[in-house]
Amino acid sequence: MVLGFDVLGFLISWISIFGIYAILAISLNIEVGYTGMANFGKVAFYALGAYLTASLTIWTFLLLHNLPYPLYSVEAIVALSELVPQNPLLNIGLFISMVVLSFIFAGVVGYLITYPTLRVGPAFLGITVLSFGELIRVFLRHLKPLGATKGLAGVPHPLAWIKDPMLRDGIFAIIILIFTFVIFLVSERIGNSPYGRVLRAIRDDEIAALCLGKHVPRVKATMLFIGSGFAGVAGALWTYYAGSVNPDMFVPVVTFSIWAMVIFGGLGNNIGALIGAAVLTFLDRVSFIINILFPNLPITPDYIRWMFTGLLIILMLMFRPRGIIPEKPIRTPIWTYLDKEGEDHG
Amino acid sequence: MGKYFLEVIDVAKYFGGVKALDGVSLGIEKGSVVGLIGPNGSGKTTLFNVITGFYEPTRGEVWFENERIDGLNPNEIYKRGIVRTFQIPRTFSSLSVLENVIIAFPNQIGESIFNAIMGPRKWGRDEVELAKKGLQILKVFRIAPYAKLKPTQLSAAHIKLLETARGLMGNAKLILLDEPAAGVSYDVAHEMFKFILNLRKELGLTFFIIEHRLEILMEFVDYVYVLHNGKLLAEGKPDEVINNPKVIEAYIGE
Amino acid sequence: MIGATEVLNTIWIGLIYMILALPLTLSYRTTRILNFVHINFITIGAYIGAILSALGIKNIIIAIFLAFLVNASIALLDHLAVFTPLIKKGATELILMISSLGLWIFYKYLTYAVIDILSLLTRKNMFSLLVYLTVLPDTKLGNIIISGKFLTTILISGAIVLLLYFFLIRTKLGKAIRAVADNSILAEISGIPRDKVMIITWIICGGIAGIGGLLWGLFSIVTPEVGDSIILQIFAVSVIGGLSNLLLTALGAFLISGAENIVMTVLNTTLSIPVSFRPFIPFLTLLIVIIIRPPLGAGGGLPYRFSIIKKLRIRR
Repeated sequence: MVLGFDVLGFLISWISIFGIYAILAISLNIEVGYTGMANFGKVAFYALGAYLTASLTIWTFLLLHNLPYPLYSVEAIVALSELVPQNPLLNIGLFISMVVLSFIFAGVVGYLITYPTLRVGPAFLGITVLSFGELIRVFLRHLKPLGATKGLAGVPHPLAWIKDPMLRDGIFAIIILIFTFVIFLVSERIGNSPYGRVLRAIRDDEIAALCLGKHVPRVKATMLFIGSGFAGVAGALWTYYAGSVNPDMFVPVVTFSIWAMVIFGGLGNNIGALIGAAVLTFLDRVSFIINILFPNLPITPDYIRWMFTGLLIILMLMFRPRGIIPEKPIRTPIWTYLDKEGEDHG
Repeated sequence: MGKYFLEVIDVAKYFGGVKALDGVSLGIEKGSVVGLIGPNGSGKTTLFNVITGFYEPTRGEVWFENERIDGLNPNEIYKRGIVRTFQIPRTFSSLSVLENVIIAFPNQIGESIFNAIMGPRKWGRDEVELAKKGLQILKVFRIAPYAKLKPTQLSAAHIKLLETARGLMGNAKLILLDEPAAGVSYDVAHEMFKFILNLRKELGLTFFIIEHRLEILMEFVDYVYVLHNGKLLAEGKPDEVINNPKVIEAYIGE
Repeated sequence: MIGATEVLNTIWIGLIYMILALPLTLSYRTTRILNFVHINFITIGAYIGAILSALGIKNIIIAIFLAFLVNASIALLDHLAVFTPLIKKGATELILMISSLGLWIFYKYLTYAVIDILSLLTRKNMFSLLVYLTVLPDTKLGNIIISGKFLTTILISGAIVLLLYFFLIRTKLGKAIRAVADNSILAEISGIPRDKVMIITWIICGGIAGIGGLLWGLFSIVTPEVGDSIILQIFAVSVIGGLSNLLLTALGAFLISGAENIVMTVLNTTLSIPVSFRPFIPFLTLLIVIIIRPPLGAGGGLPYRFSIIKKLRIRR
């Protein structure tokens, strides 16, 4: 303990949230940085993954133990807290299935949303996806079976059978990072390949890409499937980390925090996305600490943080639109070939 | 079996009240170089757009190699071997010149998302082959030294050559050139034409060229079609067409 | 089933939607920037009404004036400080839109912060307020009592529409704005001062949106999320107008309002569809309009046609 707060606890929570937001930032980067598709509704897919995970996990537990309580009820929470730590295999099995399901569910919805927006300009794509995000949130606020404004709580943690909370959270943080790493790797492979070339071509001039034989609608829909799927995975991880979901967690500022991360880090490169995620999640944790240490400030620290997020977007666009790390060329063997040719022929 | 490589049958394209094309029929033989001329607004680019799948014709048919292609999407037309260049070149500004050429090659293994995720082991060897072929083509067009540069760093003439080079990479059978000499000097344009059309002999390509600068075009083409107000005004060998009074009138009128 | 209430609701909601969507359409058409700060104009306009009421100032004329002034100033500030420098650097429509999204988030939480401070200073909860401005008195029409708020809304929105119409059609400046909206390059060549047109456009659009927010605040609880809560509907209305046609936008306002009030009531009573599904109506309308009639500004669309019927690939 240092200065009255728990450094290790802080680090674990920062790493966990960083891992989740890094996934979100990368998922946005592959859509807008690589392919040029501006997605203003990222939070919707995050919410879909989170809510799917929360509701199905609670529901499965209640079902298996024959408890007919509604998902959001206090009885359910109480009952679950007893039952949950008892069967490690069930928890882990559920965890893995939920992640996969969240990927598929969020991905499919993302895929379907692309089709109406494929042929219209950026203004309409922007409105549509943003509206979709708000639609999901408002809908969830009124959806009684899933807790309406209160949401769902008491989500069974995959590692609930580990008694020591610090150990449990620490291991889960590492699990999150593993997902982050895998998604980073997959995204790097997508970007540094002939497919990545097609993506940049679509970003630069999608009509020309179409005229050169590339199936532009299918590629765009695929990228939105994957990007939304990744966001769904992030949602699942978040649910288990936080233990609860409610509609107010999925507000537009989440989407734009992710945008701030990607714009700050640099559109088109995943390392930049990681850096952006690290910086903004750090600020998130700092304001969390401030909130705890100084509960009676005139202005809630989160408001200041979010004002800063909006300001960051504007300032970066005005003064450093390429981000702090500019985009690098696509890494494929052609460069080594070119260099060799250069050597051979002088 | 139709005798034409590319055949346009009574094609019309209306945009609301505007009749951009109003019943055009023409045919192009394999291995020939055919010109398409006409005053501004006569529908030349619209015809290209219909042939290459930008537009579905309001009426009429387009046949290529005895297959009906009107209404197909641009990427499907490309796969059948028809390549088209643009008046204002459309290159990919974040890719290098070599990559701009490589991307034109159809059906690359690495262009499937699954293979991309599997990594360079899957598509790496093909990439090197593509790089080889791409560099070769760049050499043919004498722009190999610029392979690593971005297209924006090239001169206008070189960008035009790059556009045409892409067509070769894509295993084109029919190349539609939209004003290839626009924006370059007479000498450069002359060189370009001579050079491109030499390839025709070597590689058995067919060319269909829109060109405004008749002095250059007429030297190289076998046959000419003249459009005016969306209709075919005249056709024939270059010297016949250029002395056709109707054609002269149409051009003076513009 | 459908009674006077639904009809009256359709009218006043439609009027406010119209007052809010017209400036959005007008500003996009003229400046090609989809300005998400519009959402803040609504919230701030509503809050001006609420704060004045809380201070005991009940004069609605003052409220209207302030709502216009404050929001017009914000719009102008954004134009000068953010949009113009970005445009000078060659920003695309997309980048300008993203910057306006950043501004939206900034102003939104600035509003939250200000309300926080105000709550502290006044020791009242300012996050959820009612508006008590003096309006026209309630009148009885046959058996129905028509509320004063309703009459006031009709009066004010009617006045705004008339003024806007007169301005755009009859005055030189208004015609200049329309010219720039239709073809800004041509307008520039004809000597129309583009900068001046932009400034006036933003002032008008920001101001009217603020008044719209004020009116909305008369009927609902004012929170910092007020603008966000109806922006989906406003977008839907503007999209019906294709983000360009003011008349269609006005009609669209009543279409959406009617759909929400009347259709929802029907669906609720006959098919027992819960009211929580209400936001789907504007969203689905939005989607349908975009699919069927990709509106102006859809330019840059892909020349790709999805055909379910595979054409017979005839060979000869």
